[in-house]
Amino acid sequence: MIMLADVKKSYDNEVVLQNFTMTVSKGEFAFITGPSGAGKSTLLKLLYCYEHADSGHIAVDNWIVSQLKIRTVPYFRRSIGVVFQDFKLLCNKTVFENVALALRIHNMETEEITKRVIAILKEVKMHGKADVYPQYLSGGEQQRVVIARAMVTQPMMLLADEPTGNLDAENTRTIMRLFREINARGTTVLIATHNEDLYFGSGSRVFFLKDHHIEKEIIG
Amino acid sequence: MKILRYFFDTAFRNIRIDKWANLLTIISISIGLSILCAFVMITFNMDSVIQRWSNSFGLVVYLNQDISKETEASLQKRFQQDSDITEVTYISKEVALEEVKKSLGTNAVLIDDFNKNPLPSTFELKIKSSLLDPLVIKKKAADLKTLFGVNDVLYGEKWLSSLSVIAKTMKIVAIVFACAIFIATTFTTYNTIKIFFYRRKEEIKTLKLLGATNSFTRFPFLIEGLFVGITGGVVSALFILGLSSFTTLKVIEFMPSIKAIMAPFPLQVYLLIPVTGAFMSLLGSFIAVGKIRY
Repeated sequence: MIMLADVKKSYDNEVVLQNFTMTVSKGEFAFITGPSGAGKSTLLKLLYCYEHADSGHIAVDNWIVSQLKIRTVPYFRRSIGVVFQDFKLLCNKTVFENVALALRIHNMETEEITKRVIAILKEVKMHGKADVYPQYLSGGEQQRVVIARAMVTQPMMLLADEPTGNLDAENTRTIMRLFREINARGTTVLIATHNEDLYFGSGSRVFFLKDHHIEKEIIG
Repeated sequence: MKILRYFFDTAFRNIRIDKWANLLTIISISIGLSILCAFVMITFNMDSVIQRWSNSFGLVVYLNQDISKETEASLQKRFQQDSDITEVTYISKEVALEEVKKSLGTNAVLIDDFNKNPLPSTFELKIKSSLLDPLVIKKKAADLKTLFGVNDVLYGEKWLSSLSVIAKTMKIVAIVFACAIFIATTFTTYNTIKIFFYRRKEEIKTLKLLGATNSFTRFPFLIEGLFVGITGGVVSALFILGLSSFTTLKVIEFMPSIKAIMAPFPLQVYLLIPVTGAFMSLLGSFIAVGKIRY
């Protein structure tokens, strides 16, 4: 469950979100959309605690995100998966090591890490490139590795920021299929996108952001 | 254990990636430590020379001419019971006269012109080396002079002052020098680790976004700093050991007598050099990773 109530966020006196209220239910698949600069990425950053709200309340499942202490933030972040717009893959680590890193942070046993990473790489069809470095992968392949890294810890929620931004139609379909599969297992998925094709006909809730708040909410 | 292995793997991978920068830091640390060790070695040897000089230092107590045998015996007992005095040598006026005659050689006839022995009996006193401070010795001499039967107490006052000034100056210079090298080495590692930290800023940011704690991101840097410090220390210890052996051999070849006053470093000191390098480097790394915000 995601809950934002009366949230305000501004950068250097420029308001991005104001009186922002939104709720996403547990296990839901939802989209946030809007023009560039509407605050989609900022909203996700608030949710994974990269940015802090000026005021208001933010809650994700049992975590009161807006009141988290700095020391607690890492533990909260471990409970969610994030697919970053710029991938954030480490170029000095192989595909396997990049995905395994998320589990290393969880202080998991090496055998368990190997088992889980192989399984998730198979799921995203990247197991054949486990020993390849990210810079030698295509955009679609890199995105699949990022999804694998976000999902390998089996988080309760997945946040994706423009996950298909630089992908062709075929790769976009593959990525969206992966998100649907993840959601089918009970993970809440929230995708920020400006690509209408992703949400039209999806049957999911779509939040339209404009002028610092949700302008409308439709079923895609 | 598994997380420690990951930290070590990451640290050594980073060391391989930044091998040239790490090598430069190792060289800088080993040069710094070698200079420090060379200076400590010189100070150590100078101290050994000063100690030998100190051993020959003594007070000469001149007795009154008309002193009785009983008083002499009583004074000798008093000196032997004094815990500050390590050695008491009695020289009777007769022995003193004989020594003077010996030293005068053919001119000894001059002494024969005296009706009676003009020389007093004396006590030569060796003082504990820990008390060889000009003020302490001055007070001691003054105290001894007040004793019944004592005419005068003499010692190498200027010599002792010079010795004291040399020893004190050397100690101060050694401390200042050690502090300067300590700061320089710590700062070198601090700078290197800080640069590495900034260079891997994006990587650290990603780790943090995946839920890594501060200690998780910082630990590999501390290991890296520790490795650089220990390696620099080992290089420095080997260099100093080689240099010391070579110099000793060469010096003894030309001046065999110097062997008696040369003081080689104990083995523990060579083991202490890498430990010092590790400590300074770890401190530098600790400050570097602690100061950076991201």
